[in-house]
Amino acid sequence: MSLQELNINLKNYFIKSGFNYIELPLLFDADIFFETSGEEIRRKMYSFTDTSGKEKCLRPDMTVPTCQNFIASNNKSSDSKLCYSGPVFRSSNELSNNSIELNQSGIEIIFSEKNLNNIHEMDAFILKTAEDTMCQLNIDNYKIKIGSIKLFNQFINKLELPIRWKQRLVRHFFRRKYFGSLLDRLGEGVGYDNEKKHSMLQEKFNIDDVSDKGLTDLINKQNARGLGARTVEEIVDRFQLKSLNVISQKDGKKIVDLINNFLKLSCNLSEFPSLLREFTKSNHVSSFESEVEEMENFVNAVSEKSNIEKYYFDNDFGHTIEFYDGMMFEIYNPDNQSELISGGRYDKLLIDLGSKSNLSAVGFATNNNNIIELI
Amino acid sequence: MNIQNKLRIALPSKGRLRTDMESLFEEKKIIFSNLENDREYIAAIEGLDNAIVYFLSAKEITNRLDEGSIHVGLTGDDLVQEKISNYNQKVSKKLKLNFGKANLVVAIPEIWIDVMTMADLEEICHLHRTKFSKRLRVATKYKNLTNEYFSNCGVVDYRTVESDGSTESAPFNGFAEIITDITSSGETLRANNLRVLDDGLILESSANIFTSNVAEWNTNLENTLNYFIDRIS
Repeated sequence: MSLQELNINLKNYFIKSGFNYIELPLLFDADIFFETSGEEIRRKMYSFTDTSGKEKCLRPDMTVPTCQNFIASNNKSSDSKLCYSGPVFRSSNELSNNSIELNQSGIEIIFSEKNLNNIHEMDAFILKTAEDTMCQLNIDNYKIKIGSIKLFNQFINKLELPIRWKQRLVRHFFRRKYFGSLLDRLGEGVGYDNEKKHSMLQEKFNIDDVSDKGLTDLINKQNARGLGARTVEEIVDRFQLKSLNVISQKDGKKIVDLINNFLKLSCNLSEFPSLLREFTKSNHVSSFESEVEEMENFVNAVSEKSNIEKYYFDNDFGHTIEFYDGMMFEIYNPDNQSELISGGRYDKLLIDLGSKSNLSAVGFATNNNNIIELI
Repeated sequence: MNIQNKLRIALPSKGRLRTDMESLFEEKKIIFSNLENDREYIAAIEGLDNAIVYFLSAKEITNRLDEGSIHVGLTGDDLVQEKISNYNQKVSKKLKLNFGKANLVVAIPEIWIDVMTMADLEEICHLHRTKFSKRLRVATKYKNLTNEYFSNCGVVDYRTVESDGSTESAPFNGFAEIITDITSSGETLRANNLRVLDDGLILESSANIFTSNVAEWNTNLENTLNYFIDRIS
């Protein structure tokens, strides 16, 4: 079978399973990818400036344009089951064999009724659909790895950390190198005390009055040239907040150890809730029971639809796609670890793309370049 | 004159780099022959028969080093590192010169008193994105160097805006929130109420003599190069 045939077969399979096929262009304004995935994506994609001076690119993924398409079509019912199929383009150092074309077939489910129950239901459904896709391709030698950025978020929120640090750790969970350097910094103790705050303001701005009023006056005095899209209150509040957020080296180190141990948690999915309960209890992570129950409900939802023995949970799920914000998964070939399907939940992406309502979105894409090696 | 067998040297045609280069050559008693006025674009060097000199802009010199149509070029680290991908493989630095010094830095509105480091900036970028659903804009002439540095510092919620001149005004006329730019004394930045972050030094640049590894070389040309470098060292 050729890659094109595989693309078409999977497309037809998804259509038969009730998904609406969207034909996406190959060429896009590069802007939309920078806005959703940041400048980091520049290294991964092919972009160029056209004769009108606009930066264009070959699509580096299909989830973003699919969501964009969904929002633009302003679908009244707001519930959509969409699918796509075809190549995306990545710079050659991203893919093996110097290839620049990654062939993907994927589905996205976007719906408006958002509550915890149907989120688990949808997560379980997307996993089941991914398994059915494997079955359709006659591939039965595979494993499924699950992770959750939401669980990491919930855990971090229970720690004795300034909110700025909590957000920072969650934000950089996907960037493993920088995440590591954040933990290193935290382990050394962070924040500045009042003395340092005074000396810094004295040195840089030549003022002594560090009250809210003193700082507001200082900023207003120079406000004539603009504040770069920030307000005086924002600047003063953040300044005052910074000096409240002191963590000693001893406390910093304790927290870093706890985070590292949390990330090491990994076992069969069916056993994960009890492992999580045990860990949070023995480490005195306060009131984590409702989060453990949420995990239990997810596991129950999955076991109702699928053979749960194939699933294992890896808390240190090393995914590199930034827009996932809930459950994430990867189906891979255990013989060579090559990825066959990857997916997850990405509710926030729709808001980033300009959607007003709070929608729920989950999806996956097959890696047809790797699948073709197996069939 | 058969230019095929000559060492092709490109030197700056205008600006500060040109005058600094001229003072250096004067000091080292290197004399251009058949150069009647400073609008000539080709010259020879007395006592260096095997070489031909082209006067080009620093940007042009960088591009020609990249494609290998010149052997030797005088230009800055900033241009080489920004414009030539895999510059380490394509060019070699033969001689660091004592002029053309400039730093590429990250500068923010001076009055952001809560922002001192790149780690602060990372948070500001995130807050900006949450508030406006848009990424904070960084005006720059050095997109590649900026992206590499920001990424190493974990700063991701931003986007670059291409700027071709008076980058320092961008934060105050609404084209961008912050900038990265070349500065030698920092005066222009201060005059525009901008402040360099404590760890905001992206690159310390100076003028250099570079050779192109892509150009075709032979023993004769290498000898001429060594002689030329000896004379200006």
